[in-house]
Amino acid sequence: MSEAKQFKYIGQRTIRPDGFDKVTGRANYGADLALPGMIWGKILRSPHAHAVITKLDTSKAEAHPDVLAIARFEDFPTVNAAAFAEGRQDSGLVDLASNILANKKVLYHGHALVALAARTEAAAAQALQLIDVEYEVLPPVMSIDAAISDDAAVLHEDMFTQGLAETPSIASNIASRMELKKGDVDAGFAQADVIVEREFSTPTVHQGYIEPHATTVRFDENGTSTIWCPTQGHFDVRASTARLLGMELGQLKVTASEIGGGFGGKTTVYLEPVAMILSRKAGRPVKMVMTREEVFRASGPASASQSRIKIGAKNDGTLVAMQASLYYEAGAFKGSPMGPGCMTVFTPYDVENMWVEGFDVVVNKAKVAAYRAPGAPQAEFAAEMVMNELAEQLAIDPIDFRLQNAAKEGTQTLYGPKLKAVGLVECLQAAKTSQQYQTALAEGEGRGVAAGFWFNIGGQSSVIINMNPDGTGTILEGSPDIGGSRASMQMMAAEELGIPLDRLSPIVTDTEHVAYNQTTGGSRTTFATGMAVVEACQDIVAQLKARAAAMWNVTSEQVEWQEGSAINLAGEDKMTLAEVCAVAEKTGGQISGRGNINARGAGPSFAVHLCDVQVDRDTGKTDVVRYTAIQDAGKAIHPGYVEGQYQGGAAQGIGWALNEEYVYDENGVMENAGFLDYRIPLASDLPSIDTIIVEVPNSFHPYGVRGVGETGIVPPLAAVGSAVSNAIGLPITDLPCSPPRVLKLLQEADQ
Amino acid sequence: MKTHVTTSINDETVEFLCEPQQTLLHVLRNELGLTGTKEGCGSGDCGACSVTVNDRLVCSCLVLAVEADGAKIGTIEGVANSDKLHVIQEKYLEHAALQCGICTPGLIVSTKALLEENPNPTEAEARYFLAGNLCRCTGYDKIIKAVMDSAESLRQGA
Amino acid sequence: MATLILNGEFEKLAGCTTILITSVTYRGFIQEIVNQVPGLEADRLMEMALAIDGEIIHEPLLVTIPENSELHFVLKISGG
Repeated sequence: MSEAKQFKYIGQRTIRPDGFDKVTGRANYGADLALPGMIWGKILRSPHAHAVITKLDTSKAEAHPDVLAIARFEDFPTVNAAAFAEGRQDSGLVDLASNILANKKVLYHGHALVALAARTEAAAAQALQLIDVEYEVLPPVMSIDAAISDDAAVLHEDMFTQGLAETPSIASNIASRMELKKGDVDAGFAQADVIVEREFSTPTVHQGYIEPHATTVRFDENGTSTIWCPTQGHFDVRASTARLLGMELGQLKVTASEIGGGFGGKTTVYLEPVAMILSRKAGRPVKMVMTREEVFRASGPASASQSRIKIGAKNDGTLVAMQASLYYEAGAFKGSPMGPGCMTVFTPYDVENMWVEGFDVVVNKAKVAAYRAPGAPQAEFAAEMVMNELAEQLAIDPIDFRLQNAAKEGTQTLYGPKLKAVGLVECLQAAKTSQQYQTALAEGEGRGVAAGFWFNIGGQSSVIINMNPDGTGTILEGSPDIGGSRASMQMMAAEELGIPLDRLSPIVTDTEHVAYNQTTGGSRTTFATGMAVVEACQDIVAQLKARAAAMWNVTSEQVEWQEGSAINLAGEDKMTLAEVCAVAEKTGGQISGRGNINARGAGPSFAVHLCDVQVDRDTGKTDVVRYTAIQDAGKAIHPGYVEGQYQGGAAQGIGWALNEEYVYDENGVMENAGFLDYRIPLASDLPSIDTIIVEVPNSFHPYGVRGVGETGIVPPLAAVGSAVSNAIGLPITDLPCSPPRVLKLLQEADQ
Repeated sequence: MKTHVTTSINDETVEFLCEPQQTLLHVLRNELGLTGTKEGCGSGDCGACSVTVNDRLVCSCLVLAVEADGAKIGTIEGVANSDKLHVIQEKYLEHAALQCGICTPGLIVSTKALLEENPNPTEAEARYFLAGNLCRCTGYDKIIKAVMDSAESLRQGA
Repeated sequence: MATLILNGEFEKLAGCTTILITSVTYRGFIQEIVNQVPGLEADRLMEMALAIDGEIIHEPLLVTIPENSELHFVLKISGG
């Protein structure tokens, strides 16, 4: 792979192949499927944030003439206390099942208890009211401080903090602790001329996908049961559902509908296993759709966090030590992204001395799910805010400060391995020369800069490409398309085969037509599924050459593949791909190519964002007036969709920084469970978001691709936070910088 | 007791039966199979269910199905002319103004309504008109570029 | 010989920061660590990704450990 190579298709702004269906409303999303005989499922949810279920009587609901099935925790055939006690089951499975249908305790307001299916939606809603439940209400634990205090109510009697020198004998709400270190921070701080130490907090936020969770399932006693759902990973939906219901993978087919946003929130299961139990009991297909309120209350928001950051530097700007204590809320069950948070917090910097500890803490809120670079925004927000404060104290430009200490190839990360070639320096330089950075700030405006890092992953992808006798072909892949990836697959295949784009149809197929594909997430799709597409194309090219050789009666070694044609090196003959396919039946049958891989070599993506804001001192409202997102893509296959990832991540980060938060009352009930009061950015809130694509190729990918989907949400929190801080001349430590909070800061400062 | 409704949807006469409390959105999707209009929130906050009723842009989740009686309804399914895309649809594709696409039907219906009311909007006017259509994927940048480009094309007689 | 560099909990259990590795296979490598560090179980180690000279490999079962390489255990990241 050569950097200077000119590509024919890669790098173009093609029209996405699934575009026609999406702009005409023809594309089918999660709630768009109806099946004959279908009945409707609904869920009874806990009115308490923390309680023991003392009575659960579903008999009256079962007697309702339109109710055909009921599902409770006890209906999971494979999950039971005995198996768990005997070590035959991992706690992850029990937690998953207990989240989907509560087991003995309800652990958050909205926690699912019982599901039923009835002939109509209205009948299902009515019948829910016939379920008789009694609770022993317990005090809700709604913050990290509350959860770790000595007299905290304990959510799980069997939670003994892992990762300590001695495992405690008393249960607590701290699931685990992690520690990473490099060098000697005490010695480092001793050399510092300036030290900044601050505490920060970020709230619970939601991924905010516009499409609620939905599913239509049909249990089939004698054949293959089917699930239709919007998901980032239909193979994992199959795995989870099969595991929970005691089915074999081959008995269950999952079709990924088009997906209306996920961002990490659609990488687990909520409805599918429940709907499958109901369908099994009722003998009918079952459809379940979450309301928007249910999505907020009972899907998987992102962790709230508390961080303490301490960074020391010399007067000349050299960083000498970096230290962090990071607390993450996991929600009702263990498993916050505390680990990745600890690993990413200081990764943009080449510093000898670092020490980080992290805590995974349970609270009476919905179990968290991934949200774009999970764990990184919270931690890097705090670190980047301190970096900016340090830069100001040292009177060094915040970009120069970062350039001076930037991670590059060979930098040893806190979590161990040394970085390969990366593009942080290039991003910082692009930020410095960007139009925005050259633009003088108007009176009252504030500017913020922040860097961000995310690892990106590879993983398993399986692709089959079938060629037709007329030289057209179908690319069967298994990565749900959340951002335009089908277009990239089409381009990479066209480039490899040397034929025009419109000869190839990329199709995201179900779990029966290709082998396992890992979830679309971790910024893996263009990288890993792309690699599998390339491998499948190389398989086809080898076959095409052999077939052409057979037609010419020469050996394959004498045939080369160039620009979509087989060339006979021995003579003057040439056969186009279409011509080889047209005679495929003469040379051995039709041609298919395969690429089943577990991709290695994912390249991390660094980003730098610039944000200019204007703050209204009378209302506390912040307007973003200028924004630039700069990020290393390795190689942008489709620049339009790469820019889209940068802009989308920036918008989500801006919302996280300025307005988004779960507001809870004293009983642990979310008060703003709707789009009116859970305020995500609108078209009128945002300026144009300028983008700069930096390309430092990832040598492990045939085209140099780095994942780009996630890193973009990391820098905005501190870019915005610092901009607001600079605009009002006061420190910002707690997100969101919503108008009431900013106003309060301004008013307190005036006193 | 169900009500019999006779209405016009995308210039075709349609009849259906509905309960008094059913919304137009619900009937479009679940009774008439017109699933192009999406439900994002059910409370009129996200715009994914945007349709026109007598040429007025509304959230169909806030309109009762019975109100469609005698009215003219326009949905996403009626924007293209058979397989010929409307300029707005072409521009959305050209500008990569969609990622997951769930908000796209609502946005296209709203964009059409905007440009019929105001063929020469400023960027600010476009952003404020479309503020009722939430998008979580794109940050709106390419959407607004598509809208402004559509406006220009339409003014030139495309 | 390759060098395994330990961090966090593993470092504390081992009481040292580096372990020299002679095996060229992954299975041999795990066995060496388990033999040298009581308290570190193979199952736990095999849940981690392995970085070899900076490349993080989620499924290292079939890797060959290169001569003079630097090895790290890294949490498997899934992303969102």
